[in-house]
Amino acid sequence: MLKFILKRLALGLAVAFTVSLATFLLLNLAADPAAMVAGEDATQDAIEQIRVQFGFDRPLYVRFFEWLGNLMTGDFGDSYYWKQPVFDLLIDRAPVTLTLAAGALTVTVVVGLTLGVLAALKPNGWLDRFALSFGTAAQAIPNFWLGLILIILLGVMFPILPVSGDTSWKHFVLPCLVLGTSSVPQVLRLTRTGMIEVLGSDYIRTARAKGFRPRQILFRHALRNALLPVVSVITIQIGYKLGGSVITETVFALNGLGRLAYESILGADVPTVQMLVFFFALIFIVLSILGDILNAWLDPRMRVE
Amino acid sequence: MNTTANAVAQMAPKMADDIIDLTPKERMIKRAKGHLGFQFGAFIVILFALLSIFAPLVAPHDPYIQDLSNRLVPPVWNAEGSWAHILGTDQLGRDYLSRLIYGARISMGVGFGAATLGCIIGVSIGLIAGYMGGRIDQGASFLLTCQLALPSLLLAMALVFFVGSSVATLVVVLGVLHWQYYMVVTRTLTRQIRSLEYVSAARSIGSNDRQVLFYEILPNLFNQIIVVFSLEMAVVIIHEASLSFLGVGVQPPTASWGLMIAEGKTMMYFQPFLVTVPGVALAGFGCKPAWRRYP
Repeated sequence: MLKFILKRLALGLAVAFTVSLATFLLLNLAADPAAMVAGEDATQDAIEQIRVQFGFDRPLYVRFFEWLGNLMTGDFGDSYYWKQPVFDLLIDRAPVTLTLAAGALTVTVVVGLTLGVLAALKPNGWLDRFALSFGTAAQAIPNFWLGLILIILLGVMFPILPVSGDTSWKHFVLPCLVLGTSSVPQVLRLTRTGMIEVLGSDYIRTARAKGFRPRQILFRHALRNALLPVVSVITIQIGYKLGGSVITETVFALNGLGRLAYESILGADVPTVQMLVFFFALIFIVLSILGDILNAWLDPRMRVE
Repeated sequence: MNTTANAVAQMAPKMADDIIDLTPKERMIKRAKGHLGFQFGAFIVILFALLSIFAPLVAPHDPYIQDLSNRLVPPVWNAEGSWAHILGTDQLGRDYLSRLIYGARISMGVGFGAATLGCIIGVSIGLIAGYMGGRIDQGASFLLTCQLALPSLLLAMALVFFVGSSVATLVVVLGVLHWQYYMVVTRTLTRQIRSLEYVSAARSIGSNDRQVLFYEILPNLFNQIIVVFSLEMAVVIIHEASLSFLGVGVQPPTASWGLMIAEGKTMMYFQPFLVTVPGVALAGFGCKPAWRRYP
């Protein structure tokens, strides 16, 4: 088990390094950072001056290792646009996004698992068909549009919930619902397939024959095994939720990391954007390692490579 | 003799029916005929493809001509609507149906282009990784892990905006960031097919790696790749709409469904149709591949 964990950690580290390199290169090659700092109608002289002043004239690899080295010591760089350390910006905005992600995850897990289990009880029954249609719709409908429709419905036509801002728990209901719905299909389908498979297996038949109550069989025997693959999907979905927060936070005017990313992109603020991309990737990497370890702990078969 | 021959001739098709099963193609057509979801999906795809190809012929008005005296005319089902503008007009008096039809061009074009680019990248990596195995396979899997870790929507937004928004940028950026599913599917299938007997047979008659890859393995991946393609195309279309909605994708006055929703957003409390109409179109398109998931 320890060897497994160490192996995963090493892989995670290698992925983190590659991702940081890719992010840095892509974003710094996409545009001339000096021109972006200088603004749209800066003269060529001004751009050149900024290039030297900010050190953009040095080779890319020097700047990359400088950035990475500073990251290690906790110096995330300074934002050109917000005129403050990127670290402070992240700390400032993170709570909103974490709340949003946690809420959205709750929605995903509750709706996805419930519908998945119910659908698996009677494959092709009306509940199954309903669940699958729901999944299809949730996948097809763009996130931002669902947000706008909910704003029209619950914010304007039947004004029961606030639609913009992040000052009370009520403000988080709609965004969590929107962001959570987008991941429901994956969890739903995996739970359903897993449950159908497990419910048809021999040991469930044995349990039935032994006279366990249906509820006991469902929760004690079947669900536990069916949930194994769902665990890893859920960890991946948390990563997607953070990335997806860009849209949801913009639609609902939540002041979180996603909105910070959006505003920084429009402000051509490369340091903040590259830090956010790397930060989201890092969270994803950590979560997937945790997911793997959790799976290996739950299921000894996974420990063998 | 003659009668026997006749009898055999009459029997033959019957026997053939009994013994020989339908050809794969016939079986596919038969299944498609009985599958409501497939028909629904195919209908939407063909409809949208035709609309976007023949947009100038189909659209009742020019999507860019502004008519400020006819602003925000509601759709025809509304009491104040008129048949002149079936889906009404937007805040600049442009015909909404025409903009929707021209928007299909952008969505389909970006979706098709980016999905094709992703397909080429993903299938190439998957084929080589699955066929070669060993270190190359490990390297490809590592690449996949890295790609999965990147927040693709955020990165796409930043790249498109920094490089400069245009349809070409969108296609390249979205294509390069959406190859992972092609790779996973291609790699798994290639590994399975690699050890099948007909591949060994091809090798034993002297086919080299390139011939095995292109003539023995790749044609057998076609069906699965098409399924991934249709799913990815919908994902890319929704991403394009999201980017355009946030103002970093297609630029005005070009009509794109995402951009139309963004433009309608400021007026949506009073004229909800500005937002609902393009959204329904978008969702309709997203439904297509999702339906095909359960063949």
